[in-house]
Amino acid sequence: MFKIFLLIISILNGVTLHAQISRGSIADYGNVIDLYYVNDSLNLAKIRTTANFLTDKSCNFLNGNKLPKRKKAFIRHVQFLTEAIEESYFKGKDLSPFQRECLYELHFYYLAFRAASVRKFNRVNFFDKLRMLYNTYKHCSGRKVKITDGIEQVIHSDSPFWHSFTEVRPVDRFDYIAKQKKIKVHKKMVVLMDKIGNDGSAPKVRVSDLDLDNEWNLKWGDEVHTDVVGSRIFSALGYDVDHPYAFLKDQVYLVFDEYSEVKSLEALKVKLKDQYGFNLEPFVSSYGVVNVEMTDSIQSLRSFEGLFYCTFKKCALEARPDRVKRIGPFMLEGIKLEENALLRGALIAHAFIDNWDTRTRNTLLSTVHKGKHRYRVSAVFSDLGTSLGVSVSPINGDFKVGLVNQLAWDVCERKGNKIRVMSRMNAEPIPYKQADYHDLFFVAKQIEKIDSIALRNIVLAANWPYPLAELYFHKLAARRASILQSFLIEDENPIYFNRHISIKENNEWIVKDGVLLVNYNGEDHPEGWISKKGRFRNYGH
Amino acid sequence: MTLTNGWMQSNNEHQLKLKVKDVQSFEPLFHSIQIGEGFKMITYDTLVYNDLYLDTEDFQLYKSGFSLRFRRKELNDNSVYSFQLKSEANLFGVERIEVDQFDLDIYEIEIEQQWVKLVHGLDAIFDESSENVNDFLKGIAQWCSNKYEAPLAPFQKLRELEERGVIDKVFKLKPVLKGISFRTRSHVVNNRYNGCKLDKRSDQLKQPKYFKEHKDVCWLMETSFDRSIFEVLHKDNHMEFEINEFEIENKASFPVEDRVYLYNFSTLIASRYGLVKEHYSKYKQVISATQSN
Repeated sequence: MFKIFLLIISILNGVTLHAQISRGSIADYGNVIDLYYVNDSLNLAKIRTTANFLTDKSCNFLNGNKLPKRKKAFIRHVQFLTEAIEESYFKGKDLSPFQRECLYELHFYYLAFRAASVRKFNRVNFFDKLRMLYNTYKHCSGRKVKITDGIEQVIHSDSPFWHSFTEVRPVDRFDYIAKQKKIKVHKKMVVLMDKIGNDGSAPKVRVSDLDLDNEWNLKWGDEVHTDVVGSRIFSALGYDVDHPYAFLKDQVYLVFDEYSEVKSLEALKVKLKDQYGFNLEPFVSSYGVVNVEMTDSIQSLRSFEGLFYCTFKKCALEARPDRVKRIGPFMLEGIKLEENALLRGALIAHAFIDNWDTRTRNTLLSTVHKGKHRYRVSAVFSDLGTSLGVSVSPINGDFKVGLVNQLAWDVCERKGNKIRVMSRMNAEPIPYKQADYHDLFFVAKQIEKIDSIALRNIVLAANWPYPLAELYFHKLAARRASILQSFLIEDENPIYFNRHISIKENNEWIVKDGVLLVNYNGEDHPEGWISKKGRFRNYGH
Repeated sequence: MTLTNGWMQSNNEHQLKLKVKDVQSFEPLFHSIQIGEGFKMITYDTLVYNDLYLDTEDFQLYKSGFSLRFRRKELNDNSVYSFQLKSEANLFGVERIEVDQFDLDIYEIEIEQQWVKLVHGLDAIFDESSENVNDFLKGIAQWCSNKYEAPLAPFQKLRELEERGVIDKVFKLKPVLKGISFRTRSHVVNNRYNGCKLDKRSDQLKQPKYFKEHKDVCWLMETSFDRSIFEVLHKDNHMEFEINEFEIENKASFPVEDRVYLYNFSTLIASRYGLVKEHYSKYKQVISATQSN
């Protein structure tokens, strides 16, 4: 009933739809312009070297590493940028502000594309793991940020890294961005099996939407709910994100057809075991052949009568829309992003959701198709699911996320002339190292704008069972309050929370005094809410 | 079955070109549907193509077995522009090359110190809508010179071929030949050869309307009947040439050894209408003819 009430409120308030998201400006990080000038003139050869590198399909390797595939949309956009810059050269004019932006963007793509080819972004070796461990425990007593005086009312302009979205409510921004990317999600989804995933540690497969244009990553495990919340919070704060959606029992139908890499559930289980060491069996709900009765109730199954399908107890679908082309990481050496306050300030956003995996590889420079073969650049925060209560097991090389009892009630503490930000992160890209009080203050102000309704909607979207949802709501509200209190930000949208919340069902304490006591409804949630055994120990199965 | 004897292969597709000498007796083919031996032709549109071929002063691309052209395709009041590099089908030691560049609307050419859209320049040349067509031709030549090192797919390919030593360094491309073609397109099906599958699931989106509506029918072949007139762009030579060709292209993903329908259909058409195989591109045919004149 409460969910319906909130839905009605959201609909009545409505989302104001406006024109496309503006590109904003990138600004000259690290004097990119100098790289492309010689003797006060544009260095055409240098520009073309960069552009040809990004577009020439005959060049497939860089320093022995395979370069990512160049998508047509990306090539088209690079050609557009190059031509815009070359116009200045051939017409004998100085670069206009727009052309300067094109040049920065071109160089940014160049760095991101190069980085995407480097081995370290594709595989995690022993030294990477050591480094992650070191970073995780480096700030176990909190990151200290010196408080500085004179907080001005800073106004940050839109850029590919952040948008103010002044006319879109924080709670609506996730769906607003999804609409721009033409992401369409339904209450029940039918998707077509393509191939097994080959990246990251979370088990996943690539599937096709029924429109055959868009794709999804179908995922299982402990990130199913957390990624949904992490992404929605980041988008509420003004950042671009991936778009994951959580589904419960029998809400997603995975159909195997002649084009699927594997043609049955058994084959799928074998492949997932090989690739990820993951046992899918506990997550499977049903398996069979699509029949007439099913197609009567789920019309989108009609074309697949006679084919094998399976459903799951729970899973997540993360959009891979055709409109978005992913290039490579955007937090890179070579681009001095420490000058970007919004990126530095993202540190507090990561802390808010207790995100652990803050490696550069989880930042993505991308192009978004605006229509009519025109694109805008966007910096996407990806893989925000390693959050909301993380346990790291160095001995086993394992980790688990979404452990509500591991999520602290507070994020920040103000002591003397410092603020202590308590969060464990496995990486500290340069912008986060350079983050100062002003940077964090600005993003903390954005956190203040997440009100009770927004937080409720975000938690609802995660599809947690009721006790978990309630506990997470109270904890996130408390964490929000600790941030605002630490930065002395007046809370104009106070959210009530109870650190001692208790929930009883059928005479059994599920949550007592703010602690989850039981592995609630474990049969339907195989990853478990309490056990610290994560994906590398098959969630204890 | 081995498809040789005139069939060209590129990108896993087979194509055959047949020269049409008597257009009048050939045209009725497109008014009928049942062809014979179970083959059915579904003629669905006629397009107009305008082409502008580029080469060096001494026809270096022609001699090396390549053609480079701008094309304007007109369909239902829409114009689509492309810039394409192609190799001759039987070029020894070189895989069949076909490299396209679209989105030409972002480029400009300089005409008498004024900058105009490249596509408008092409329009002026194709439609002869300006008194200064020669200025536009010079503008195109200058554009080629300016953009030869730029990130355009046909130029990238030419540079790659230069690096590999397949062709000599290309200097000063300019327009050398202009043409207009009227292309009648048809699908060819035959119930005896159904049951083909698409290579990729997403190929369903690229299927023509007829096959989306008749999902049980296999898209065996695509044919194009081109009636073309070419004009040499030389200050001392404005010869015109007429070329009429019928091209058959395989579309079904049957294994090569199962593509007997290609042979049966082409033999049926060739023998009925007295068509002979043509191995060379239109460009090569025309330039060869000018060289021998």
